[in-house]
Amino acid sequence: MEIIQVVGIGIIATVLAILLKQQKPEMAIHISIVTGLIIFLFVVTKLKYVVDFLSSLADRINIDFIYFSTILKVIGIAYIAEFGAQVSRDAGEEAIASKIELAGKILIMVLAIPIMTALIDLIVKIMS
Amino acid sequence: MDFLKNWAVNIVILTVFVALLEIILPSSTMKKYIRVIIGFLIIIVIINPFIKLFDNYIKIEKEVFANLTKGGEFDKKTKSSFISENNERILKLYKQNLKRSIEETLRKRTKYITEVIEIDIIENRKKENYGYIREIKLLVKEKNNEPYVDKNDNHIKVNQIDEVKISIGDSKKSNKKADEVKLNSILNVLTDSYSIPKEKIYIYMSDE
Repeated sequence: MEIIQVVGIGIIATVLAILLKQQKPEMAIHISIVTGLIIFLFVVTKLKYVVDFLSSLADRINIDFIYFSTILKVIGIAYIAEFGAQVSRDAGEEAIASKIELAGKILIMVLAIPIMTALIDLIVKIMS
Repeated sequence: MDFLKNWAVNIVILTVFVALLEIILPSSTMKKYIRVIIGFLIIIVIINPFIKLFDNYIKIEKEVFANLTKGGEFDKKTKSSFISENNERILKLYKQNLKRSIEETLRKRTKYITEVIEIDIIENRKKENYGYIREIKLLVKEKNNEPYVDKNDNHIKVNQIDEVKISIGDSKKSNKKADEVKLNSILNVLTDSYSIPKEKIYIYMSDE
């Protein structure tokens, strides 16, 4: 029952953070960051199973693997950027969080550009 | 009819795939961007049969690859790491083959089999003598008289037994001399076939 462990860690960390917030606000931030990391790592190992299943599904489609790996990369970037942004936001650094999100968006766009240009080229070719 | 079936199956699987992807998407501003890309994927899957209809020579995978190489310029670092990895692999393979070939020649042309071979070669790619043997260390053992079985041949060949010599006198000294002679034979074979200078070869006898 991993969910109980995850929720347990979360609740304990939350209570600790609230208690510490009055005396030492900086410690509360540390706790929230570490808790976030623990839960993130906990779930990332499980994510492999899902990814394996998705890749087996993608194998069945008669479409090149490149799309699939692109999408997985995009999701990975999204998750990591999201995580980083949330941690910075928790620490009160709104500016850094938005920069992290910006970087994530740009990297996602870079990955998407090959598919996009290929699609446009194809449509132009079909039309001409 | 077959391609219609394929098409339908593709669309169905893609729909399931996208539905699953939606579950694991992070629920934030990033979602929009991922949805756009998934949309492209769906367009490609739906458009695919039409491309074949209009032109046999368009391959969407090829297009994506072409565009990938254009965008690949910023990946120089991975490229160089790939090259160095490749070089390492080549070096390893080269050493392995060298070892195997030395083992084989010694087994065929001398009375010894090698137990351990250590080869030190010049690994700097930029040097002119790249790949030359700098030093070679051998641990050899006298071939047992146990019959050598050819893998392709079921008959057992019995090696000829050496004449047994009994000598009286300083046995230690003669042993040493005999050892030297033996080692010389190995040295000669190695210098003959690989043109390695004699002073770069170190041979150790196994006690067994």
